[in-house]
Amino acid sequence: MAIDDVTGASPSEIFPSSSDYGEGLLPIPGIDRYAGTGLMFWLWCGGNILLTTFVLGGYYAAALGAVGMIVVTFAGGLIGNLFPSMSGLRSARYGVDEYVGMRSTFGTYGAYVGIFMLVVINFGWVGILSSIAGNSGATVMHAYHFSNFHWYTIFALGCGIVLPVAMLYISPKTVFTLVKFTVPLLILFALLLLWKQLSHFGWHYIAAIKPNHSVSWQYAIEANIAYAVSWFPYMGAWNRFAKSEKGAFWGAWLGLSFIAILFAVVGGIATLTTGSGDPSVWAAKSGLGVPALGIIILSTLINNAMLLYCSTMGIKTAFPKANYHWVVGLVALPSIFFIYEGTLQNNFNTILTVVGALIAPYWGVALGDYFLLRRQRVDLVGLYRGAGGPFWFKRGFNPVAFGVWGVGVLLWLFLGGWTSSVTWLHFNSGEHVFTYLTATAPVIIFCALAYWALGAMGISTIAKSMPAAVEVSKQ
Amino acid sequence: MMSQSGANEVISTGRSDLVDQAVILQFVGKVEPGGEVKLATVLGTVAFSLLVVFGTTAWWMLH
Repeated sequence: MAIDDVTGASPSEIFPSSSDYGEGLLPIPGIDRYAGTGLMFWLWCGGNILLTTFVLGGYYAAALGAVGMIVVTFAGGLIGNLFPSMSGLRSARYGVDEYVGMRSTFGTYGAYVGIFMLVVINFGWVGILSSIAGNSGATVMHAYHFSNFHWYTIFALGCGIVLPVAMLYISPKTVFTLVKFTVPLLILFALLLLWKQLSHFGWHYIAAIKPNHSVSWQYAIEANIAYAVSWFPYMGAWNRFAKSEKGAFWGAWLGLSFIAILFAVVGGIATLTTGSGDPSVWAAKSGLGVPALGIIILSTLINNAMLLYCSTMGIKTAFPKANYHWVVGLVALPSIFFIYEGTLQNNFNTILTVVGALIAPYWGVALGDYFLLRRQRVDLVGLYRGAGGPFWFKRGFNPVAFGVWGVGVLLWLFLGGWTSSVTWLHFNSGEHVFTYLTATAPVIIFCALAYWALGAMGISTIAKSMPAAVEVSKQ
Repeated sequence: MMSQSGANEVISTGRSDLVDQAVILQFVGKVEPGGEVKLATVLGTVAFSLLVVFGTTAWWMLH
């Protein structure tokens, strides 16, 4: 193939068929993207429709009361979802997967650290979500006297593993089709639950419930932000389908924030009125048991498909020769272990800790690199180059980025370690500072600014990867 | 011309590059969909949203 072809051919001439787009590592040309702002909105709404989003509001509703819970949920949701919505813009611009783009920050092999975190976390998340679908399905079937059968396994494996894998095996486009029709229904369910609570108890009764101050509003803000930034690893894989950068940003931010706020507020109010933080109790008391099973099944389908696709593309980034369809099938298998081990409640606190301590500073560095240092300009060809390329840094790793990340992890553990169940991470001084700063948001901002400052100081490791240096090296 | 699936097959050609440079060069100038999001726009929107949230709450509490 002659390089002269570059200048003369339009994308559609180069790529006559887009049927396999999203299954490979190469960029998706702008003209061949198919997700507009509305579709991106439904996609990210669907991503955040989870029982855990309901549970989030219940976490602090009793502590803050109805008004405090609503204010904190709005503020935490808007701030928290901003960070992942911004991080996904690199993939929206260049049409590349999250971890192909991440090479520009952490290096060709340094990006594999992000892939490792993604894949490991997904093993747990996919298993936990499948387990919820299994439990809900089995409960409803037993209620209707369809007992003496393996309903847990059927619902957990069927909705959590088999169907999402089948969707992705056909094409990642199937996820967009699914969310377009199902997410409005899921939102209606949440609104129905809210209306039932308000009409039965009345707003004045709900607002008059005294807060018990068991946790602070800072803790509640932190919970919202930590929950939101758990989306960091997933943004790029899906945003590369967006027809425009603005569509990717507003679709993601508004979609994630809207659902985070709606579901957490509904969950918070339900917790206040029922006195229970268990969504199945709210649904049963509202007479919505069977529709609740529907929401759980559909949300499990959407979420597991979204998560498994990100794992698939991450693994393909590390092993480019791997066959997409084989990886889709194999990447879900380890999650089966989690289906039969552990429960959502047992793992939720650990998940939040891992997310806050490792993921937030990793993507904080990436935000500083892309927005502040590179001003949203990355060498596309360099992303696909190995040794000798601009993002090779030192043996494939960017030591400066890893240094800032390490400091960020320590900073998070100091500020937020006391919120975890790991006792040796509890620092009294950190807890005191937390009441002024919280943990996740300041760590993200610190890492972004620190990496930017080091880059602006002209450290040679970073300077060699900057566009000006790349242009010079090409001449 | 090379299709996406055909192009994927040349990934990892055994050279140090992760993708054949002739393939990836075809994408240069054709991937950006347009509609750049300015950092100032993002931060301004969030600041305005938070102002509305806390402003409304403060007004409500005072009345």
